[in-house]
Amino acid sequence: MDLTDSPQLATFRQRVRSWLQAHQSDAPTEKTGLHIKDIEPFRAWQRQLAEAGLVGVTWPVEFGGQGLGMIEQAVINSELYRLGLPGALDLIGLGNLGPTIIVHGTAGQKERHLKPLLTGDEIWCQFFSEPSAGSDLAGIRTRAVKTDEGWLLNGQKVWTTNAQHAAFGLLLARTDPSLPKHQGLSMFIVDMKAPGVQVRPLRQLTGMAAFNEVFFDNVELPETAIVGEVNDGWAVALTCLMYERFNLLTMLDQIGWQPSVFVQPLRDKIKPQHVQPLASVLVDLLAVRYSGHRALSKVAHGELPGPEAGLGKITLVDAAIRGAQIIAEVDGPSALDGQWGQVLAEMQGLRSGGGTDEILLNTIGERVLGLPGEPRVDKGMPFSEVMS
Amino acid sequence: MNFELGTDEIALINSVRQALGRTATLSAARDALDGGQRADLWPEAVKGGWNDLPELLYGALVLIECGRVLAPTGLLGHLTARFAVPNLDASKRTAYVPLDGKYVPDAAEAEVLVAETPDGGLLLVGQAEVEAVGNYDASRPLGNVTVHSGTPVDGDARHAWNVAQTLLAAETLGASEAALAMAVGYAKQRKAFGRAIGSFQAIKHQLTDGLRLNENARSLLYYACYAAGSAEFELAANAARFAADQAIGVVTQRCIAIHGGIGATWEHDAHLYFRRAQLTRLLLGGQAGAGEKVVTHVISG
Repeated sequence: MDLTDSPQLATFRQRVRSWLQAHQSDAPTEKTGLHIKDIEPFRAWQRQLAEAGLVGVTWPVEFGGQGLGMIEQAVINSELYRLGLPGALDLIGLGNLGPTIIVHGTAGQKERHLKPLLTGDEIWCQFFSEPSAGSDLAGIRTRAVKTDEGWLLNGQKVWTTNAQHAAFGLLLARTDPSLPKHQGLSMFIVDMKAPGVQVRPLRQLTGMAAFNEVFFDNVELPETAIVGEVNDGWAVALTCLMYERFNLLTMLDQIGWQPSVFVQPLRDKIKPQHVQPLASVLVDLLAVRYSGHRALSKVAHGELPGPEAGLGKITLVDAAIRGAQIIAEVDGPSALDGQWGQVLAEMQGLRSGGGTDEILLNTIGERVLGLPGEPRVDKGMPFSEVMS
Repeated sequence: MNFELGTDEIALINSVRQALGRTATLSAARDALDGGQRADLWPEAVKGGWNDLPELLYGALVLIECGRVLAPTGLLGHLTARFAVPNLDASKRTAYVPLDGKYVPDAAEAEVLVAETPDGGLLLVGQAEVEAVGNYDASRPLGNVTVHSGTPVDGDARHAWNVAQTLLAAETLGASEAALAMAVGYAKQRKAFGRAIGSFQAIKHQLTDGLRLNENARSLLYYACYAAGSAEFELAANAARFAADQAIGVVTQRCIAIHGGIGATWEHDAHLYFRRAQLTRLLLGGQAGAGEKVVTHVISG
């Protein structure tokens, strides 16, 4: 077991650290997170990071990346965290959507989109979930119908982070309802300025609107909007979800909930009845960190991240809720009006983000433990019959 | 960065598994509950060279395998003493005796005892009385120790304690992984309402949550082995201990429940692991003691 950097990685870390120290005064002062009020300073910061080669480091060099690994991304994250600096604004674009376009996109799409994505000039969002399809993502109903010029898009997406800032979105739509549900899907690039695209903020239980619902009303997509083959969109979506797991891994290192965060407010106030519940919170937070190191080691040795990365999210959300509750018990009801009430509320939504606890436990139970699958009553049925 | 097992480690694990597989440790554990002779695999440990391992990680990996089959090898006590007092003769069966001397793992069978002293030092015990105690988990030999005399040896009792927590966590993790595997195997095979019961979410989610708890414990165990020489060792070792007890406590009860009535019978192995879980969480300061140390460390750190 060794967490020290190799000589090359140490050099890389030193370079990252020096650059960040020299430029930290350019970083946005607003607290980072899901509720950024003014994105422009964050956009400028992403551009600066991009010019220094500190975003999209895992992207191939020909697309503006550094051709490096997840481990280098983790080093950047930990150095940002060390100095209390925010990272890139468009984490979803850089982490999931750009890499998906690199794998499945045409030369024209790569040429047009990757550079502005990298620099933050064009923010991206991901249009997967819908009001009637989340855990069962392949059950989406947004339709793209072939026209002479391209495709005509109608439907609705939901829980879309950054849609209000986005220039483009990667959208999964149904192109052939006569096929079984996984087979009739295609992936598209949607220009957010196209007529018929409407973004409405979705206010969450926190009181803030970190994401949106987005409506598509007869939106015309050009022929060139499709990513991958017609009716092969599920494969493209799986690539995207795999990259999401990669990102989860590098973020666990930097999640901002080091055990000390939950202990700081309790110093000198802790009562005997809080000790064991607090111990459990701290142990879980440490476990998330070191499980992240294990998963990252596997990736560094060439393995793909497995679905078990999702277990870390379950542990993290659960521990954060219990930690915030202990602090609220110690500080009394006033704690709820401050940061900890906010954490408690935010975690409730995060429980479903990136997969609900239940769907993660299904997937991991089946893929890792080899347990038999749920019966699927819609298996092999044309989707049009499932809908009726 | 390397925070996973390499080929050397996996080779060690396989050789330990193979060697332990030659003894029917589980039926011996059950018979011992009824007063039969418990298995003693110390000779197997010596044959494999596990009594003289160079690093805490190797010790932990061997103990995971011992825990998996509830094999009494004497290594928990022996390797604790071995890693705490570097100059001991590794060929002599040794055990580590914490200050209270109660329910001390492997003490009754040891030739040599290393005991904690009230001032935080260590003593090579000369004269002592050892009385074998407890039979709730008959695969776990325990003794009450009264130390009469001894000579001080180099070593730090606090370090010894943390080594003991780490190795106990390893052994507990192995048992927890075995109990989970047993439950998963049954859930794949047993049918009800025309389906394997593992396809029901009520079962599947319990099992996958068990995996989550086991993997958390494994990550913290690696952390403890990694941190052994550093100031973080106390935090890491106690966190590993807490997490392993947490995991086995949940997993062994679910293992019985998922098996239904058969899981609650004497003939089934599930209760052997349940007994291990219930006893282990009380030994060497207990899970709660480890929890207190974690909180104290983070507060003062």
